[in-house]
Amino acid sequence: MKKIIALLLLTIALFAGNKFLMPDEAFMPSAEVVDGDTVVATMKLGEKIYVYKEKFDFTLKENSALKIAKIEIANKAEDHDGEMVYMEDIKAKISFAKSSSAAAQEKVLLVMHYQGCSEAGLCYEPSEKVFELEIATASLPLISTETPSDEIKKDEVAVEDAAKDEFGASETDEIVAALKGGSVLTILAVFFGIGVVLSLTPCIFPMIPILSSIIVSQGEDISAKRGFTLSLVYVLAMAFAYSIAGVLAGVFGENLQVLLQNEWAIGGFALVFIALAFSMFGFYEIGLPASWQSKLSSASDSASSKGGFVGVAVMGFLSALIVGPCVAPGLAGALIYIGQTGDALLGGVALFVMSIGMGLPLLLIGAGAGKFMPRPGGWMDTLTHVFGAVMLAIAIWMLSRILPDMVTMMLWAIFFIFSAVYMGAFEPLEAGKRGWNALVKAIGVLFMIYGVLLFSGALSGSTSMLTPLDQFTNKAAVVEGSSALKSAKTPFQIIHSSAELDAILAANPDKTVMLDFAAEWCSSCKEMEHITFADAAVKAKMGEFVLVQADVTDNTDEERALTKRFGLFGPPGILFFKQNREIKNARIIGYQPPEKFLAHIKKL
Amino acid sequence: MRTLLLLFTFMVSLSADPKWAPGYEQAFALAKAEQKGVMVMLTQDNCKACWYMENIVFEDELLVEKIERSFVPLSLDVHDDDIHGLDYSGTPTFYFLSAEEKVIKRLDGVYNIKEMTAALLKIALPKREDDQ
Repeated sequence: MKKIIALLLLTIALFAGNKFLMPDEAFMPSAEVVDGDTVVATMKLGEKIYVYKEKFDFTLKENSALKIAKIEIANKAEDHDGEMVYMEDIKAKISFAKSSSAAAQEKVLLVMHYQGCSEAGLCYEPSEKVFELEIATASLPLISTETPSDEIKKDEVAVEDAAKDEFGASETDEIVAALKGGSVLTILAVFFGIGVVLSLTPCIFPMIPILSSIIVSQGEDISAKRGFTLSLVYVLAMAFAYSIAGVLAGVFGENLQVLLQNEWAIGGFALVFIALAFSMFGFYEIGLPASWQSKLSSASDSASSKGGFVGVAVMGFLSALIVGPCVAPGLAGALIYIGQTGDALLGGVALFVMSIGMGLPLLLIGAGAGKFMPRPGGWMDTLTHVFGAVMLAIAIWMLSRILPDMVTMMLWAIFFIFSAVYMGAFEPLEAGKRGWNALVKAIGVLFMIYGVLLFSGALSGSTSMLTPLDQFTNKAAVVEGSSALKSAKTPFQIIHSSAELDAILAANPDKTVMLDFAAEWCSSCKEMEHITFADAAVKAKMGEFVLVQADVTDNTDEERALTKRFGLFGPPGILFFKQNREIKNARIIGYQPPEKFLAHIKKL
Repeated sequence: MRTLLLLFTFMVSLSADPKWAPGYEQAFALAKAEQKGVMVMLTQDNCKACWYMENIVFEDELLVEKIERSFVPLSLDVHDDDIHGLDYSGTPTFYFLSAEEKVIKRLDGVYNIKEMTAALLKIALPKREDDQ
């Protein structure tokens, strides 16, 4: 089958040759009035034609009574070698605003501006097409003097761009699209689903010990019903916090996703995790809810149970903020929707439902608590300590986004060494108490060894958690001389055709595949090979990928078909694949120095 | 090793762009004086394919040497420069002209280093009238 496809591609490439479409075949614009006062414009694109996002625009000619108020483009621009472009037929909705002097029907000359290229390697001139249209003005808003139309358009573009964060963009965009397109029930179901999926991620981990310890602290006679009620209060408070924070952020137009990814927010959250971890280790109790509880207890007779609920609610509220950065896609999607449409109610309800979904496992834990929750002391203490360690690990993982790799690795080393000590790696096993104790000690010893290796690796300048000693092995290669250097050359699987690439992609669905287009006659490719790929840190990181080199030196038909398949003009070009598909926006064209290249591949 | 790398980087940096002529008239004056033709590259802003030609293909020392052996390279922006009636459907478009401004060959669109080298081999300058 693959061979047939390859043959087909080859045939297409042969026939296509260097023949290009004429401009009127490449771009086919049209526009029509819908509902009397809105224009839907379409740009049909010829084969392998794309349009630059920033060159696609609309203006009005010779009409002062109407102004363009808003341009909504249904398509998502894609990164094409560093330029944002539309690769498929474009659909745009243009809304107008009127001045007070506008007649009931206004004739407008709407100009569509566009410029684009053929992926086969020809760029067309900037062009425009004028449409003469009749617009009914009765229900149009008046042109506001404070906000000229240019500004309205700009705002809209800014919201659109905020969603297009680096590689994580598409998920958020899909959620925004789901919110815009679906019925209320569908939207709520989708968000509940997102919540349930999120509940399975490590984000929910810290909540388990928090909730467990709250329930356990309620006393020994806790029933399943009370356990469930407590966790329900916790989950409702969490959901409430999400909705409030989300709606506020959405209405004020702040992009929480970006807001949460700065070093202060991440550092702050990491500190909260560290604080919680140490409380799990028994260094201190989390004071705030306890003191609130006791104040409320003294206020009324029945307050001991109410106090319990208030404490749980406060913890639920705080937990929502603690796990904030983890739920970025769902949260950001709802926020962008609120920002774009001003529909805070639906956005808020969506967030609420999502949080309930997230809390589902917590409800189950709560319900089971009365029956299965172990009493404080004994192995519950051990479990709490383990959760404490997990929280510290989450803190380090979060800090890794803002700290240099070497520091992160050092933190991991310290983490493993401390864990090893706590697990009794250095304490003798009591005679007759082997079994579990021996297992824990053995794991402790392994943690110790790994911790020491990470520590040495970090000191030697390595940044790889998997190969912390790579700095030592590379230096050994240099000492051994030129033959060792040759063998240290980054090993690529060389391919010449689409079929070979497909076979490699199919064989490695779970790995990142790096495809490097190179040729003997390509000087930029040599720079990449001798400078960038030869860098020790780059090499270590590249070791995690399946490395494939498309050698197009001979420029055979098969090699040309492979190059054209990805819209490349020729070498150099580096593409990355995961699960058989190219990773969007990750493509590199031309030479990149080691530091820049390393930063790029680390993001994959 | 580091010295070798530096040397390599230095050599790569030597592989400069073609020596583009400053203008249409100067290009043909130079072509006449040096008994060469003129290679005109029609270009414009927002042209990814032109970027590829300028930054990848014309960075190749051997190719540039081949071009300059027979042609004076001239780059014209279809919007900003007088292109003297040269026709195009898009950019880049290459014209290989004799010193007397006669079209020898037109190439449309992008060509990689190998294709451009091969195309150059097929382009023969007409024998000049004043050649002996």
